[in-house]
Formats: sequence, structure tokens, C-alpha cells
Amino acid sequence: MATNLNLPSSNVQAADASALAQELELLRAQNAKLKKINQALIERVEAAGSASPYAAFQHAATLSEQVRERTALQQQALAQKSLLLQHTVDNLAQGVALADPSGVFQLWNQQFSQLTSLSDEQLAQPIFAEQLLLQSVIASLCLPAGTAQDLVANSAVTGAVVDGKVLTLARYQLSDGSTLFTLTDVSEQHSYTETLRASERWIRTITDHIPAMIAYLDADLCFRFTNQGYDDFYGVERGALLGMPISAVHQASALVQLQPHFQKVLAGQSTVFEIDENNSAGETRCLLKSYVPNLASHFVGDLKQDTQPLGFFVLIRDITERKQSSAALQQANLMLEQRVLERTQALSEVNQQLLQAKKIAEQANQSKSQFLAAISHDLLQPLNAARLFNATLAEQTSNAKSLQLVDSTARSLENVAQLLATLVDMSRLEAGVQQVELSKFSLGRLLQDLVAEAQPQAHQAKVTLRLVSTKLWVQSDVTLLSRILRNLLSNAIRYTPAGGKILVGVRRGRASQAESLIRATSRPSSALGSQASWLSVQVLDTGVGIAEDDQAIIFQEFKRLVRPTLQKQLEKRQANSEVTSKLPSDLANDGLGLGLAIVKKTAALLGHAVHVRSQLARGSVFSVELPQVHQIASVAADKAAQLSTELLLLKPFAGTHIWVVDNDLAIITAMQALLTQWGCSVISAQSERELLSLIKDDPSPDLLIVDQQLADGETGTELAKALSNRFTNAAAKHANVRIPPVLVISAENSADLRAELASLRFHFLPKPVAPVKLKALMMNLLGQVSAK
Amino acid sequence: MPVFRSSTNLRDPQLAAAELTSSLLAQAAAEPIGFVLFFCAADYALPELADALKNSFAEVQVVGCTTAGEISQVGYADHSIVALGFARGHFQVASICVTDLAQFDLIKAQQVVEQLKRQAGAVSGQTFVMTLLDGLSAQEELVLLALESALGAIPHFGGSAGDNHQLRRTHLYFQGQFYTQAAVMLMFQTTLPFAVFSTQHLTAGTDKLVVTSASPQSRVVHELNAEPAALAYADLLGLSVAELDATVFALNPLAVRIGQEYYIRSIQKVNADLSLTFYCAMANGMVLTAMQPGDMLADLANKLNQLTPALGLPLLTIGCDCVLRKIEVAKLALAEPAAELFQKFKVLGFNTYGEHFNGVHLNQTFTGVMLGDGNLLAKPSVTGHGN
Repeated sequence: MATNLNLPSSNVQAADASALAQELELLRAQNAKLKKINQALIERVEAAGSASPYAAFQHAATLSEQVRERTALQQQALAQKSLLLQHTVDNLAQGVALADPSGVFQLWNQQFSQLTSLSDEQLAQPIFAEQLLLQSVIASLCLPAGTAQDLVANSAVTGAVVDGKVLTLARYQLSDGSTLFTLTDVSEQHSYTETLRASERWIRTITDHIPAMIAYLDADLCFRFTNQGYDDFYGVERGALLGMPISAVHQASALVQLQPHFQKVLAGQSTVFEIDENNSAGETRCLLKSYVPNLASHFVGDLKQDTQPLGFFVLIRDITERKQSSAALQQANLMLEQRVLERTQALSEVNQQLLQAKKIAEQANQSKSQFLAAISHDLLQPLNAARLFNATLAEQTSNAKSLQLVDSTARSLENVAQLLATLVDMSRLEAGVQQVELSKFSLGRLLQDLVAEAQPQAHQAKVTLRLVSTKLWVQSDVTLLSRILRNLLSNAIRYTPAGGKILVGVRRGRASQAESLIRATSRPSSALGSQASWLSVQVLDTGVGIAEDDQAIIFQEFKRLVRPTLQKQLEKRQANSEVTSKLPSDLANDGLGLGLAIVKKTAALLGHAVHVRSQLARGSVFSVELPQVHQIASVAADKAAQLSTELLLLKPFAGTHIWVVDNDLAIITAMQALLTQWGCSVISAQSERELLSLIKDDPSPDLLIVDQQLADGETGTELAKALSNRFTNAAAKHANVRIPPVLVISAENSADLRAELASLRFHFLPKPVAPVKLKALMMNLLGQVSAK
Repeated sequence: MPVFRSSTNLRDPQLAAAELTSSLLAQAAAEPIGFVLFFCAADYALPELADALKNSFAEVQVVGCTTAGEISQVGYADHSIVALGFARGHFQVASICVTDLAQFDLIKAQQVVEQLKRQAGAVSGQTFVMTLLDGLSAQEELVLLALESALGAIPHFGGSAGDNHQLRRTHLYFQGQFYTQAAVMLMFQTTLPFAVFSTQHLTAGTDKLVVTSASPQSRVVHELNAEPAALAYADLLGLSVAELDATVFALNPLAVRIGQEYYIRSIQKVNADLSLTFYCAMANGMVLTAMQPGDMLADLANKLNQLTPALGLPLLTIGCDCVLRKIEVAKLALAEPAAELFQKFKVLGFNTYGEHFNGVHLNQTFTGVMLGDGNLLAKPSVTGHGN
């Protein structure tokens, strides 16, 4: 230690002792001082830490020194920390700024100045700038005006900046009075939030539009979700139920009903039930409620464990209408069954009535047929007899005058027969009992026969009748078609003056087209080949014609056209007749005016259309349309066609043995006379019994002729069948005896009968029996016999 | 304004108190005053003054002490009273008067600090502690050490009361009464930024004196370098003992070095036996360094200027200024510039018989606290304010 002691210099050059002694004294004194100083210093050093005031000072000073040093270190560390903090803050994605209690920004990072577009100089203004800065921040964030005031401590606002960023400005109050602001770019969260919000909106929209009530309740029976339907049903404001207990919508009594369902669903089981509840309008509605538990699952190890439900989902459907309509449907069903039952009953009654009516109609029809059959039989029987007698008479008379009378009689009888046949035909048509027997046959052959048949009549009337031959075949009823054409021919002859012409021909195609062809005669007929499935049989005359007005009525019954020409015709015929007669033969038919009516009705029955085209004083064309068919080869048909034209020689049957059975004595007599005339030996009887008594041992005839209608309900077929046993036996006994053919004669000419006869191999002739036809048949039958 | 300043030269205690009160209340029209601190010349009629202040300020808590000179708005002053008002909105001040200084140990100190903290309550902001001590009690070192130990990191400053160089009795005012042999401890909680500081302008010379005989309890040094202390001190300065006076002491201070610091040990007086009485604790073996004075005002201005950037505009600087510094200023005729400096930094305070800084008893320093308005030049830095 350097001291500044006032030591004497060691100038000891002075040699005198006193000086030396003085110097010694000085040194001693100095030494003593130094010793003392030394002592004091030692004391000081050793006394350090004692409780003296100076020690306290020394201690405090040392302490202070240490504190200073420590503080310096701390400040250094603090500065370093600050630097670190500054770096950290600068590297934050958030903008951060700190304002002191007076509102002046103390600190901010780069992000804050970037996001607010405020320079460091602007932010550093030493003024109470917080509000000002907030305004500019808020302006740059496009936040609504007034947000600065709304932005209270510890709150945040979000807004978008121009470049599409979304920022959140938050304000935090710190404990020392300063304020921390943060600016966060929340664009991503924002869009995510927006997406979430949008999907939440969607879900809400969907659930709100589902026509059902949807809710979710937690385990404490508090609402956590309700949809629009739910709120509407209970008449609460939208969303007002959230957080409310279930008792907010149900009264205690209703809750008691629901309680078991709550327990069930909160035990983890779904439950569905129906319940009646009143809606907000007070109407009672039937609700179908479903409670589904929200089972929270968690995993313990690999085991999934179900815990208590967190709550449950409620789905309610209003099934009031459904129930009502279901009930109504059931009611309707019951009603329907009832009505079906009633209708069925009504229908069966009607059916019954119809059946009854049909039965009555059938009965009526039956009786009409029987009546007609009886009438024709009863009328034709004597006529037949008369004709047979007349035929016999003609053969026995050689006197010319008598022969003329017989001939007249025969013609009159023929006319009467025709007249009767016409009347019966008409009646049959009228009664609807006329039966149609369709067959395929050669139209040409038929027309030939008919024209040949009418030729004498035409000759008599001095009218030229000509046929254009054809090879076509048709399908129709031969008899009925013949009747139609005969009527047309006889009409044509009747209404055609002497010297006129009649042409019969066939055209392919329908009559309407055929007519047009008649007009355009130059046109070749082959032009219609394509439509050849239909034919028109036409009868053209150059007669008086029919006025257009009259064309419709000529087909009506009992309508005749009376005109001068007719009178003239009558005069002409009378003049031509060599025999004076009050009733010309053909006028009997004319008088009735049934010809064209029969044509029309018969054609309708056959399905053949009949057309007429006519001009007064020029002539008429009558057409019958009928279907064409392909030709079929048939010998039988040819033969049948030849029958009427072949006449046989007298007495061709000499020695022929014939049995005749008929209940009408006049017929038997006439028949016996005729057959005897032809050289036959005849046994005739009126009944089976009489026959059996007459024939005695005679085993069999060459021919058996029986009338179908016998007395006492017996029929010719029954009799013939009975006799055929006898014939069979006889044939077995005698080698020269053969089974005779059987000819049945009947006024009834039905298909049933003919079918029956055909099956029995019996032959048939209709009444009245024309002698020519009988002879032809007999020749055929007995010829076969003789051939053997 | 959160702090209000006033002073009076009126000698009549009643009038003086009235003037101070009206001045403070006029300034504090908008903000109620929660606490008043005053420094008064020791030559007032203290009992009367006590009554007058008690009546004038009524409910407001008032603390003060006698001085060896005041620093008012006009600079150094004498025979006056300076009073400071603290707005309730910015300050919460807790105060405790300790009368039994000899018994003030660490335990006591801890109790006092706890009590102060409770009183100061939960006002936000920061805390500093100010101590006012009887400047002639010779208990400063022990009391301050105990207090410092209890305060921990809380900044602390203070001053020892004076008595106008009479060196007889110094007083502390607390709850309407003046005390001796006592200490008043104040805990300030404030929202304002502040800095506690201490500065001195002396530099170490080369001459050393070793205390070879001293009475530690009475702060008397009998011998320096084994010679009568006054003689040794006068020899060092090249003066006769008779020439030694307060001005010489002020201009030629001695200091003790602890660690890196030199702590001034100011001489109070020369005794008849050529011993020296000091303002602070002395002990045998202390090595005293003769100090060279520098430019006191420049040093102070420099220190105060260092503080302002962190505090903003100074609202108030409470200065505990050593009585010897006032003597130096007077001797060097620096009163004018000193006043200017004080006005610039809003310095009010008093001349002490010793300063307190973070538990250390100092001499011949300017120690105090500066309160700023906090309206700083903000800058982009996280470095906070304070200190």
C-alpha cells in the first residue's frame, strides 16, 4: 500500500551524533507510527464481518456492488432475450403490436406493419395514436364503421382485405395497462369455417324441409337440436327449444306416457310407437315416434364397448292422414265387396231373366217352325196328291183336248206349288228359321241350269235370254242362291217387253265397281283381276226400268210397281195365251209382290249384297255379290246338276217290288197309281202295323218308301230302322235276298234330318215329290240294284 | 399532471402551511391528492408547523423532514418549505415510522416491508422505497442494511434529515408530529416510469490515510496515520488545523474504496482534541483516499440526461443532495447554473446529512428518483422502460 507519510529524508551525511540521535529518534517515531498503522490495518482486515456500523456499511457497499454486477449481467441477459424475442416476434405469422397504457404503440413486428400497410414511422408517432391507428387498420380491413368502438378488450373482429385475405384483429388488455393487438391471417380457417357453415346450413335446410319432425335430446332430456317441423308442430319460435328441457313441449300427463320410452331409449334400445298429441293449433294428430339412442362407443384395447347413450335422436312422422286414408280405404273395400255382391246378384237375376227370355224365344221359335212345317206339310200334301193324280191322268189320257186340260191343270198346280213355296219361303225368312247350308259349287253350272229353266218362260215372253258362261266357283247355299237368281230372272222376263234382251253374266269384284264398269263398257273386265275374291252375278235387262225414287221400295214386301207397261204386259200375255184363263199362271206370283223382298232377305241371310241400278225405259241391272272360291272337282256335284235335266223312259221299273208307307191315304193312292204306272208292284200302308199285316211272309221289297211324318208320332226313319233288322235277317237266310234301299219323303227338309238319314244310308226326297225327281232317284237306286 | 409542486418562504407556520395547501389543491383540481411529502428548514417552529400542516391537509397523509437546505423551484434555498403532492390516480404511498432505530434488525425490517406492501395495495405499476432518517442518529448503516436485506430487488433511495449545520437535532414528520431518533419508510406504487439513481463527481487521488484510531459508535476518528486526525488531514492539504472548515471538507473529501467503488466519507467537524467527526461510520484500519473534485453540475446533468430517454419528459426529480455539495456550489458560485439544471429536470428536494441508495449510506452524492411522463419516443424494440 502506497502511503503519503511525511517521512524525513535519509539525509544522514551530517556526522554529528546529535544529528544521528535525532535521526534515530525520528526513525523510531516513524517506526512506531508504521507499527500502529500496521496494527490498524490488521485490525481492519480481521474485523471484517463484525457488527460494527462500518462493517454494516462495508457489507452494504459490497452487497450493492454485487447487486450492480448481477444487475449488469441480468440486463445483458435481458437484452439478449429481448433480441431473441424480437426475432421471434418478427418471425411470427401473426402481426403483433403492443400499445402502452396511454395508447402509444411500443412495439410491433414486420407482419403487423405489412398487414396494416402502416410504416414504422407512422406507427412510431409519439402521440396517443391507438385510436387513429385502429381506424386505419379497420379501414384497411374493410370492417364496418364503428367496429373500433366495438372492439373492446379481449375481443376480436374479422374482416377481409382487398387482396382476398381474411384477417382477424384481436385486442388483449394486459395487466400493466398496456394493450396487445394481434392480426392473424385466417383466410384458410375462414374458408374452412365458411365451408363448414355452408354444410351446416345445408344440413339445416335439408332437415328443415324434411316432412318430419326431427330432434335430438341429451341424456338429461334437454333439446340439443330441433328442425323447423318440430318447432312448427309445437308452435315454438325457431330454435327456442335448444337447451330447454323436454317439459317445455310436453305437459306432465304426456310425460308420464312418454316416460317408459325415455327409459328404454336411454337404456340403449330403439323404440317406435304411436301416440296422439295436440299440435300448436290444438288439433289432435296421430304421431309415429321413433327414438334412437346415440350410443357413444369407445375402445378398450381391441374391444369396443358401448356406454350409456349420450342422448337420443327423435324422428316423428305425422301419420294422421295416413291412418285416416287407411281407414277410409278399408271402409271403401268393405263397401266395394258389398256392391260386388249386390251387382253379382243383380247380374245373375238378369241372367236368369235372359235365360228365361231365351227359353221363351226358343220355344216361340220352335212353335213357329213347327207351325210352318205343319202348314207346308198340310198344304203341300193335298197339292202333291193333286199333281200325282194329274200326272197319272196325263199318262192315261190320249184325248188331245183332255191332254190340254191336264196340262193346264198341271201348270196351275205347279203355280200353286210355287206360290205356296214362295209363301213358305217368305215365312221361313220372316220367322228366322230358314237354315243356311253353305257349300262350294260351280257357279257356271248353276247359271246354266237356271237359264235353261227360264228359257221357256223367256221364249214365251219373246225375250232373248242369254248367258255369258263362267268357270268360276262360289261358296253359298245352292238352294237359296237359286231362289234369288230365279226371282231376278223371272222379274227380268216379266218386266222386259217383247223383243227385249236379258243378259246373265258374272263380273269379278264387287257390284259397285262392276256397275261402274257397266257404264264404261269399253273397259276390259280383266282390269279387276286383283279383286277377284268377290264376284257379282248380274242380270241385265232392257226392260221398263225403275224410277230412282222407286229403287228403294222395290225390295219391300207386297210392293209392286203398277204402271201402264204392266197392263200392256198383261194384255200381251192374254193375247199370247191360247187358253183363256182368268188367272194367268205367273200372275199369282206377281200379285203378291214378294219376289224382290225374298231376294233381299235371302241375300241378307247369306251375307250377299244385292244392288240395283236402273233407268226408266232403258232397263235395269240387278247384282248379287258373293265370295269366289277355288274350283273343287266333284263328280257327285256334277251328277246332282245333271239330275234335273235327265228324264227317264216310261216303265223302266217293271217287276220292281216297292213298299210305300204314308199316313195320308191320298198320297198313298197317288203314289201307288204313279208307281204302278211305272210297272212297279206296290204294297202300301198307312202305318207300320198295317204294313206288317200286309207283307206277311214277304221278306223284303226292292225299295222302301216311307213318309217321315206318320200318325201317332211315328217317324219314317224309326219304321225303316225297325224293318232293316227284318231285311238283315232275310238277307242272312236267303242268298238271293238283299237289303233294300230306303227312301224317306218329308216336308221337313232340315240338315238334322238329312244328317240322320245320311248316317243311316237312307235316301231323301222333299215333299211335294216331283215325279221327275222320284223317277230319277229310283233309276239311280234300282239301277245299282240291277247292276248287281 | 400526476405530481404537484409547491414551496413557501413564509416563516409563519400557519401561513406557510396555508400557502402550500392552497397551491397544491389549486393544481390538483382535477386529480385528488393522495399523499404529500415536504422538506422544511430546521429553523421553523416545528410544533406549530406540525399543527398547521395537520389542520391544513386534514385527511391527506403527510410525511416530511427537516433539512440542511431545500431545493425548490428556484434552486437551492434556505429557510423555506418545499412540498410535493402525489395524485391518487397514479400513486399509492404506504408509510411507516420506525422510532426505535437501535432495535431495527432484519426481522423488524421484514415486518415493516410486509406492512408497507399491504398498505400499498394492488395498484398496478412499479414500486420504489424512500427512506428518511434522523441524520444525527448514527444508525443509518445498520438500519439501511437490514432494510435492504428485506426489500430485495425493490429500488431504494433516501436521505438523512438535516438541521441547517447546527448538528444538534434533526426531525422527521409523521402523522402530525415531528420525531427524532426515527426513520420514516415510504413505499411508492406508481404507474409512472421512474428511475432511482445516485451520482457523485469526485475522482480518486493518490494520497492515502490510514485510520489508526477511531470510535466507531460516535463516528469519531482520533488518528490518521497514527497522528491526530485533524493534523494529519490538514498536513495532507498543506493547511493549518485552524483553517479546516466545512468548505474545506466539501472540496477535499476522503473516500474509502470497496470493490471498484470509492465511497465518500464526509467530515462533519474538527473536535478540540484534533479528532475528526464524520457523517458516517468509521473504523480502525480504513484506508482513506484523498479525492479530487470534478465538475459537479456537469456530472449531474450527464446523469439526469441519461435517464430521460427511458422515462420521457421528467415530471419530478426528488433529490437528496448532500449538504457539502451545496457548500461546494456556494463556494464555486454555481448557484445559477445549478438552479437551471434543477428546473430543467424538475428537481425538488433537500440537502442531507447523508444519502441512502439501495441500502448503502452515502456521503456527498446526489441521490434520488426521477419520474417521467412516459410519453416516450417510441421505437420498434421490445426493450422495456424503467432503469
